[in-house]
Amino acid sequence: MEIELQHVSFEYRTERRSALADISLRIGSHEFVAIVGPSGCGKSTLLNLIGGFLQPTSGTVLAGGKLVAGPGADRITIFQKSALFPFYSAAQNIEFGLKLRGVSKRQRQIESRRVLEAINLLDFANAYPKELSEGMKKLVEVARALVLSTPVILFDESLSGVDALKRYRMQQLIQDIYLRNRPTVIWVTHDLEEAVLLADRVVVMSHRPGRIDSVRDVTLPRPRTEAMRTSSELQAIRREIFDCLVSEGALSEVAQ
Amino acid sequence: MKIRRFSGIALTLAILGTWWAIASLHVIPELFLPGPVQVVDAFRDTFPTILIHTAATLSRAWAGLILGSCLGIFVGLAMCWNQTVFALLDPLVESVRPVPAIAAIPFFILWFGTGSAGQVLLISLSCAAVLAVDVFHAVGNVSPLIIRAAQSLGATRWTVYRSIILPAIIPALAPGLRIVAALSFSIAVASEFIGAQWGLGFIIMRARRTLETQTILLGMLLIGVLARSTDLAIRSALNHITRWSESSTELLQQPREENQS
Repeated sequence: MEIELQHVSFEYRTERRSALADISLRIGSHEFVAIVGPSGCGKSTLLNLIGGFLQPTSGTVLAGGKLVAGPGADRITIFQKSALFPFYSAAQNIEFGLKLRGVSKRQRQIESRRVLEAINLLDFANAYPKELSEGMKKLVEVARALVLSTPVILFDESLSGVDALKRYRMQQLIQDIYLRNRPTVIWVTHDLEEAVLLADRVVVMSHRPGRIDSVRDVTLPRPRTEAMRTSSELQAIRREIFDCLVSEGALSEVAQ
Repeated sequence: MKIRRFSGIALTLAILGTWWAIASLHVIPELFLPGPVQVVDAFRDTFPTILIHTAATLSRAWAGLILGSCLGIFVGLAMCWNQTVFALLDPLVESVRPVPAIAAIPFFILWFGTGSAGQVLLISLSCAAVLAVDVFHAVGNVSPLIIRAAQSLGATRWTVYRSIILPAIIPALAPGLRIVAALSFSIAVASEFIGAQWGLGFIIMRARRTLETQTILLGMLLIGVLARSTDLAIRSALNHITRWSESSTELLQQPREENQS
């Protein structure tokens, strides 16, 4: 499913300054786009507009050619904090969306087993979220979207709470899932290496009001392996994006 | 662990023992403090009708509690549905809640007679008014993230309430449920004081007229046993229903190593 933003601006009611100013961006079907930028640049706001949780002050957000009027099962967001239903087991969380679509219990169980297998968590089917690690929770949330064959998955700093080593494994798993199911992915992160490793394109945003500074294509072949993480090509692109952020004064906050 | 579990029973037994010792010393007239022996005698004298009275109080309290909880949860959720329903129900709930139920007993007897229907209704309304407030605030504390998640998975507002909000608020309702359970017994007994042919409240009132203090004490003990059993039942049901929720109590009760030497 294609996502298109046309001259989108957004202002929070409590703040006079606009959070986003005149954003135009087209994300093709099955594309993996990463969005990076300094904190407070409106990355999450942008994602919430696409998710339908916020409405733009001006401009239009289109998903599959249709105006985004609210949240829907065609665009599922995975936030930094877990949004699993704590009172349902992993399997019940995954089956929730299917249940809403009137899928029979038998079929729901088959489907949830299938996706739990895909994320290597079949043993945790009956575990409650409190019994899962942060990384596992994220995977179950991804599975909750996968089981519905959701065409667009939005990730909002989803791996921030996951420790470094697991993060590497998760990034590979996310790539596997992406290559197998080919959803459109919008991946908001502040980890530049992660952005370059995963995405087809990296959108660099600048500060207050948030606007698109530049867009960098990543032409590295897929699947991107662990070895590519330290490759000179990847590091060169990462460096380029980093310089771009520095020149924007994104790091001035840190320097102060 | 076993020792800890029995320490509560031991304390109860110690109090009973003290009571028995004081009573058998005969320093206090029997009328003012009947001993355990007199209470057991009273139980034997009134057996088996006392069981019917006990069952009457228990069934009223439970019927009122169950109906009232359902009503309270419904009203509380309705108040969260939208501003109109809130504006409609909030003044009603908030003016019913502070009025002691006991004050309304004469009217309920007038309208419904001395049968169980009026008593159950009174208990229901009192429990509902308390629980509605609990539910209202509990809904406000449900994580917005899980509501967003449900919405983006395609849930309608009705489904969000039924499948997300309702299970999510149960842990927060536990204290309220336990409080209204005790309340239901208080109101059941109070209403039996004033108008009833059956029930422990009726037994206590009748014994008061003839100064049978041992029977009054027996009634009190039986009410205590009923309320305690009800509380245990509610707690174990809640523990099972909310086994998914993270509780800090256990963490706090763990002995900290550095304090032990």
